[in-house]
Amino acid sequence: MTEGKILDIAHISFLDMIKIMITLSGAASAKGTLIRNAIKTAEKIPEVSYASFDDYLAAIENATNPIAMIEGKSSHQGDFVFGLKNCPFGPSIKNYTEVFGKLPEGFGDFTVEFNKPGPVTDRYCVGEGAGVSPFCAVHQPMRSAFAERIKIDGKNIKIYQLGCKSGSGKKGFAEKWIEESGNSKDVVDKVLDEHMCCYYLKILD
Amino acid sequence: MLRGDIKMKNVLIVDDERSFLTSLSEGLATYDSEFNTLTAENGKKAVETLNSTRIDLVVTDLKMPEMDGFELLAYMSRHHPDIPVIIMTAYGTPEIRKKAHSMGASQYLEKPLDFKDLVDKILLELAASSEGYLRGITLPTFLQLVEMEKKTCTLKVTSRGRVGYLYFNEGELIDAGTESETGEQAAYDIVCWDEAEIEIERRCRQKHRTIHTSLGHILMESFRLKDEKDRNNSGNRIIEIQDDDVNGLIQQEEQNLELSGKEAKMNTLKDILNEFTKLQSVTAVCLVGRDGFLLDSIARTGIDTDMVGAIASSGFGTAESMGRQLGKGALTMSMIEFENGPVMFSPVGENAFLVIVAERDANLGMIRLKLKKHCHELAAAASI
Repeated sequence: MTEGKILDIAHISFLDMIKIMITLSGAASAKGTLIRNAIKTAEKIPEVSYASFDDYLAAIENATNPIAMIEGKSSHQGDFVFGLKNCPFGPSIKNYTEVFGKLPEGFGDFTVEFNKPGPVTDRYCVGEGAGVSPFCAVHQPMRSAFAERIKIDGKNIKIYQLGCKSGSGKKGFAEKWIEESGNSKDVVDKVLDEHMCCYYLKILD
Repeated sequence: MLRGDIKMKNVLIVDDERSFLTSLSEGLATYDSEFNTLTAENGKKAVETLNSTRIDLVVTDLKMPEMDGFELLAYMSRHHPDIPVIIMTAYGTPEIRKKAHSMGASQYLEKPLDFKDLVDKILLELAASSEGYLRGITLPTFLQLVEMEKKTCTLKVTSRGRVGYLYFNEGELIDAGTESETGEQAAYDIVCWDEAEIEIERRCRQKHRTIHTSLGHILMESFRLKDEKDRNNSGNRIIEIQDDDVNGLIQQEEQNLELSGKEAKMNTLKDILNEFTKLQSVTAVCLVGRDGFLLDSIARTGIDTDMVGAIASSGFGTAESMGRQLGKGALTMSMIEFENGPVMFSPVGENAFLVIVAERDANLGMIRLKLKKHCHELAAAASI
């Protein structure tokens, strides 16, 4: 007797819901809906202040940092560049593809749409090539929106999404944000060798 | 009996059904602190009243014996052009109702009458005339009424020494003539004449049809040409217009815009959006990215334009998906009609669309015209 697979219907439904949104109202509209939802989620969290960057890092380590709470522990690679070992949507993707073989149709179009320049991706410094799946449209703006509610040493911070890696190993680079944040593509490439996601934290003056 | 108070407004109701007039007079008597109600059984009697008493508003039926509503309106265009008019008509079909709304529903009431609606419109019109607006029936409105009621007639239109003729057969404009033009070109000229006086003859004097374009199209195109002429007269480059096809005209304008790129860049996004809010009964205009995030907007207080953009993105995307599913090609325009007015969507470039929120009496033809006219300017101004 072979053992069956246990489906997580929350995962399955979420992924299929994205597909339905794309089918019914197009990739652009679906992208907007997911990003708006991410921003709304960020509005729900309380503002947090850390006395220093070290305190910020410590809060990641003990998972009290709001960003760590949504995506897990990222690691500081130096010069305010962070790497995230596991994609927070990894379990959903795994669960879905194990059962259905591949991700729903239309996800490719959605990813292309997310990477297009636009006012909202500009505001949160996301996309622009750093999107490798529709889940990036949720994760990246949500992290950036969370960052708007965090202060270090009394100063606001900003997150730049530098790159991301898909489950198949394909890397996506946001050259616009790499350049604007003063980083190099080589550094991002190296971070992505060992991580799924790479971003830069800027402490604003 | 009329009150002595010079400020008291007088409303003349014209209808050939005596029982209807009586019950209406009785009902409106409760508003005698607001206005006096006078009645007339046909156009002829209404003319007598108009010439003997100061009337502030006429509410008239169209189908009446002796002198019908059209003849009364034509008479008023010559002798009492400033008196506002509300027309009572049995629309009959949803298409006619839609057309009446597009003409400015504030001037129309559907039979059988909703009494509250009638009172609201009377009070609204009287208030507007107190504020100095001239709301008499215009020639384009009159022509649309002729079409709507499938009237056969010849109209003699006089304006500032010019004379023109419009020939209608069962509501269809079949021919037109002025001293210098005939057919469609004459119609384009006539319908834009200001201060037009109308005479109506109950037969169509032309048998041969030379105009095959719909009245709606002629009206829209005439407004456009007039607008263009006005701009040229105010110092802009003169454009020779010979192609009567609307697409040809729009293409010509697009080329013109490309040539005068500086002029296009001079227009800020707000200036262009303002062109829409200048139109009667347009309450909001929003330029929205395809993802539903607002790029710019002008709206009346109380309208959450961010939310409008988000919701409209879904509606716009759904309309596009439907078009794709049905093999209808690219979306050029989408309109949703609500009880209190329409919402229109139109693509602007590849990454944005325009949402126009209007009230029930908005002139949809003018909105469409503005959309076609400013689409490329909007895309350029928004740098999309």
